Amino acid sequence: MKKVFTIITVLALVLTLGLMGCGQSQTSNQNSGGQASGEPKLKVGVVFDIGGRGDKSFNDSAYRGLVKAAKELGGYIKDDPDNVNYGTNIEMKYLEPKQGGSDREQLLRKLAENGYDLVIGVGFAFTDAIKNVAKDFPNVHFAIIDSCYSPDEHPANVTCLLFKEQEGSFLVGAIAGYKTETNKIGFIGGMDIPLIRKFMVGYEAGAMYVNPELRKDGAIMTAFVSDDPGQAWNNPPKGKEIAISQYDQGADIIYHAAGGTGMGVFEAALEKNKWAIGVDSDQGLILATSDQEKDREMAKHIITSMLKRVDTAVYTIIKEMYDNGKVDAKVMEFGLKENGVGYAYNDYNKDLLDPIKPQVDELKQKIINGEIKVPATDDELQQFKASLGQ
Amino acid sequence: MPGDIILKMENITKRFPGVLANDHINFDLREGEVHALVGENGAGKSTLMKILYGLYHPDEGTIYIKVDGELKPVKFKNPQDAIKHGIGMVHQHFMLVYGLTTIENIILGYEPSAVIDFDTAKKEIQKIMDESGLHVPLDVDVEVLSVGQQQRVEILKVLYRKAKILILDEPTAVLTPQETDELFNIINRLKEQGHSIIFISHKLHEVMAIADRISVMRKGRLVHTMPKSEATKEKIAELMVGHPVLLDVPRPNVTPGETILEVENLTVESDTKGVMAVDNVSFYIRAGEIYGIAGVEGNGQAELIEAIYGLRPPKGGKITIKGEDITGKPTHVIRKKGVSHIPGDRHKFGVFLPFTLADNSILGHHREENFAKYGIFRKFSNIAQWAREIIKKFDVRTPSEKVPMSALSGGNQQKFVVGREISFEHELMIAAHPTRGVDIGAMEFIYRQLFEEKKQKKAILLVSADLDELLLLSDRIGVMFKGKIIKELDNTSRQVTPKEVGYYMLGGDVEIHEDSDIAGGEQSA
Amino acid sequence: MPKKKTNNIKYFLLSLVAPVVGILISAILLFFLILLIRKGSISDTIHAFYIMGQTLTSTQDLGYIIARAEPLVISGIAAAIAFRAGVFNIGTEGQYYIGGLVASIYAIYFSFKSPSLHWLNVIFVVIFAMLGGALWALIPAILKVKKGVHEVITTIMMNQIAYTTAKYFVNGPLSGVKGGESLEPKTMNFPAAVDFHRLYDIFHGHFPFPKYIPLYESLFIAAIIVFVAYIIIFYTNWGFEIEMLGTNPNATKYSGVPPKVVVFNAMLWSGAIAGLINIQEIFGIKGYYTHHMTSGLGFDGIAVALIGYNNPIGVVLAAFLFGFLRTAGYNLQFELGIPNSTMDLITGFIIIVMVIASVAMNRYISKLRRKEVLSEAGDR
Repeated sequence: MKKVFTIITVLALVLTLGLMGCGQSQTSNQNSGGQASGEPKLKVGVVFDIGGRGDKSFNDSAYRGLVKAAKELGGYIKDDPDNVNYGTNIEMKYLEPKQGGSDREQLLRKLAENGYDLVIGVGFAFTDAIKNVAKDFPNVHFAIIDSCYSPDEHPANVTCLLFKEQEGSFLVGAIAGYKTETNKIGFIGGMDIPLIRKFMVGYEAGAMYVNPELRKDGAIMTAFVSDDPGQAWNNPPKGKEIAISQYDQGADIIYHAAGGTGMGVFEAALEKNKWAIGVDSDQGLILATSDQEKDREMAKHIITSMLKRVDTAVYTIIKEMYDNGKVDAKVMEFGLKENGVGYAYNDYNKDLLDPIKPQVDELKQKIINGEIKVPATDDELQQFKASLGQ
Repeated sequence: MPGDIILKMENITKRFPGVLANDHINFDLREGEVHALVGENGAGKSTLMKILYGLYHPDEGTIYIKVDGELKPVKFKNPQDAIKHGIGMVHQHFMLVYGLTTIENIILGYEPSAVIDFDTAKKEIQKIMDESGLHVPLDVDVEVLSVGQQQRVEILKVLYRKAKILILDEPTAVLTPQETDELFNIINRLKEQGHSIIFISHKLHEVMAIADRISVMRKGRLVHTMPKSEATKEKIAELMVGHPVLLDVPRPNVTPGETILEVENLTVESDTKGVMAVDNVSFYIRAGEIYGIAGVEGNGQAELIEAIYGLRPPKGGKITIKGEDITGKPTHVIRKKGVSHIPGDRHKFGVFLPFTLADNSILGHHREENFAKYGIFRKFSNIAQWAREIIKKFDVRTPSEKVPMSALSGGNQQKFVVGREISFEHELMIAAHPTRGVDIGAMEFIYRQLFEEKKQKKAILLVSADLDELLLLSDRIGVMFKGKIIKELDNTSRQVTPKEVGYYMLGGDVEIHEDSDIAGGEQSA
Repeated sequence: MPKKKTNNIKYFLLSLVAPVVGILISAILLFFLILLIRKGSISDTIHAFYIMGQTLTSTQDLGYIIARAEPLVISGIAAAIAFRAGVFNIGTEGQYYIGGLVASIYAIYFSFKSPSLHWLNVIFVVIFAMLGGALWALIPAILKVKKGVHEVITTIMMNQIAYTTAKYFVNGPLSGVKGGESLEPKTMNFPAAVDFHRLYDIFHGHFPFPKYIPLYESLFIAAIIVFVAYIIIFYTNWGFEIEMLGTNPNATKYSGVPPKVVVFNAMLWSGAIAGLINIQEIFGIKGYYTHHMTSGLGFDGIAVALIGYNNPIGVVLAAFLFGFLRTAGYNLQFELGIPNSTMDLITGFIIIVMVIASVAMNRYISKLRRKEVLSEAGDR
């Protein structure tokens, strides 16, 4: 009897501990009505990152890219609940990894095996998975969003879809420069890595460009959440703590590039009645339309957000593949010119932004024309600052 | 004064695999009496009481309970059924929930309503306390109560559930003498109020102090029931340990040879730190000699064996086999020096029930070259051969050596264990309760085997709770009491009487009444 | 005697009832689950079972089944060794993190760089992974033997520490993340002479599965472990003593076998084998170490050992069952959008049904045997 109990106990442990990593994965899909006869000319597979469709961020943005491709190029999305179907030129299919994301690589393989010509991994978490799978399927083309490889390791059949975050950050930096009353602003990055420094440097440059007061030492406060990737991107309490400290030191606007940690920054802005700037998607709009009272309150403290147009990137590579039957570029960069980055302007913040919108759009034009070269590294920022004078 | 019979158990029989735990037992209880149930460990008392309390279901027999003035047969599916019929049990190990208060513990599971009305419950319990004299603080965590108080809570629990029949399972085992006296006062008060009590114990002076009637159990049978007026401590002891079995195995005449086992001033600590289970014991056994250890169980016999067999490191003293010091050596070394051991509890220590007989036949010697190449790779054909020899030589009833041990009857299992231990090369045989739980046929067979051992000039250390067995087999008998061998008796010509051994088993402090009719003890069931 | 022989076959078949019942009942549950997910479409549900059946006929999927079963075989054996001794080593999870880490340190700093010495590297990787796993089992083993601390508690805690330790090494001393290159934390890459070769390359195309199936030299290691474990468990005294202890610790003591020594050894060997669980992924698929590798293989191994009755052959079968369920799960997700987690649920269900069924069956079998012996021996 005792043995049975021990076994049951161990079972309970196994089940709770073992299955902890396996939350929900994919919501059920209707059988698509879009299975038209005739082979599509191109098959595109996408693996979303954890969260899947409906995350109101990266994945949804990528999904919009698919929809745009379907509309413009005449394709359909297989097994899609919304029955996106505009023709049979392109078949598109997406999968979602389970909680924890341990099966990203399996899903990429699944698509590659099943004859998909272009397989896209949404997010930097696919960096290694794509590299491993690309090795095994030399005839399939892969794309990864937001991450890339050193030239000596870069597989020939992978295209990196990168963004000129510094350009978008320049514009929100300029907005901060116009809007600050204390002439002190802040920046909070998730981790001190070159990618996040691009956000920071562009932001600083934009702020300094429009507001000479901010060129002074110490006028722009910068901080990073953690060195540990497990702590950096989803740590709202830490984000809040850092933000409060920056507000207390006089900053009245803080821009965050720290993923989920940013929610803490918004909370601090609400608590201290100061301003914050969102990142990646239009966070102000998302929160303003939330059904949570607190979210809507926080939204009132978000001036704008730096947008990364994943949909643009996804659409662009699908189009390239469709038009040429191949993608030669190893790296595609999406800046203001390509409409790959930008700043958020919506019904909720337009009153705030309207007074300065002409100036900001002028800056945008200057960057697109090449009149302003936005720095992407610390060294470039120093040069940029020197060129501005005091 | 005891009144009518309110509980009757008739022909209760309960079998466990290999053991007949209760053998056609008849037991009754009168209103307002204390009926003591005594017997050695494993005599079947607990089984009987668990049947009465609905924890076990009898294979045969009927329980009658007085309902509306009439005895009616009842069947208890579970303890709740038993409780409904007014039976309550106070377990030896308390069933209290620490962290809850006394009152919460008492009403737990029998709350008057879904929303607990503590005031009503409290009034009711207060009333029970006043009537019975069981006073305990009600609003404190039971954890802070003394052991004696916790026991009172247990009794209150039972009374709160309106029990008329109380089963007290070794209630004094955990109490100090003062607490015991108080408990007896309470029992007497409960008796006056018409409660009936079944009092389980093996402390004879307590039984004599509190019981109105006394029933003695032995080897699954209820051997005798008597009123207190007819009972004496000696008589109870005699009944507990046994009566002459109609077995007469001729004892071989062997002249003892050299000394095989010598134990000098051995001291062994019990499981409780600082308490010596074996206290300065010395004795020796020669080749061709059977040395019996007598004593009420729990007087250090088990620890003595464990020390000799290397399972329990001695605190002091010396053990030698043929002059070689084996004190504190590990068991496998001691077995190699020529010690075989028939353990007291075969299922627990002697066999692996799911293993085949073949695997069971080599235990402790499985690394020997005969059974394993380089001591590692098992030689299955040799092992099977060895097992078959044991089966044949010791008449183990089994279709083959490939069946699991669990498939055999208790007697055959024991024969197999005895056979195995005899078959290995050895100088000293430690036999602990070698016939416990086996039928007469197997018993006789085992006696003959032990005498055969004696003829082979082996030294045999025999520990048994069965006095007749000891007297029949042993050449000398050491009587253990509280960790000491208080008396060594010469039995070479079977001159020792049970009475004599019984006297020393109880510490030698009781007089022997020559006129009492204990000798022989023919009260067979 | 022919009669006895048929009886033994009968008992063997009876012991298979529990797993078969478990799988059958789970299949029924799966049927209704899919029916529910597909909103009552019977044809879809039947199609789902058809897809699962196809998993067994496609070479590509068979390859995946083997690849996915491989770590579970090792994990199952590791758990089974401890279970046989009555020790619940829940720490295989942490042990493979550390085993992989120690072997990775060897690979990065001390391995032979010459490709011709690749086989020596493989041997050393195995040795160091086993040392790492054993090291992680050592602390619970010592605590159990010396202080009587229950291994379930200590091994679970050691799992946490293992993960944190791995994280520290990956982000700290061994970090191979160069600026901007990857946000996935990982160590430096192993020298090419260490990376396990693909079986496809070894067999030069005489290999039934496509090149991209992740089958590496580590499959041989898993096979060797099964073979050695089988020999040790059933043919040596080491296995016999482990079995004794797991069956009856008291009688083990009386037989002169020191239980503490057996517990200690069983725990250490269980840990050593657990150290090898994920070498397929680390040294085959990835070529570097990261604490973000596949987790949960240790817990899966416990389930595999339970379903496989702690028998190496049973463990292999159970691991293949798991491999099949996972592979079929991906196919279901791909074709019908049925959540992959459904298969995890089914796996859990199989275990529960099996444990219940096996308890009942064991009772029935021992009753049957007893009856048989008594009637044959004419004993009462």
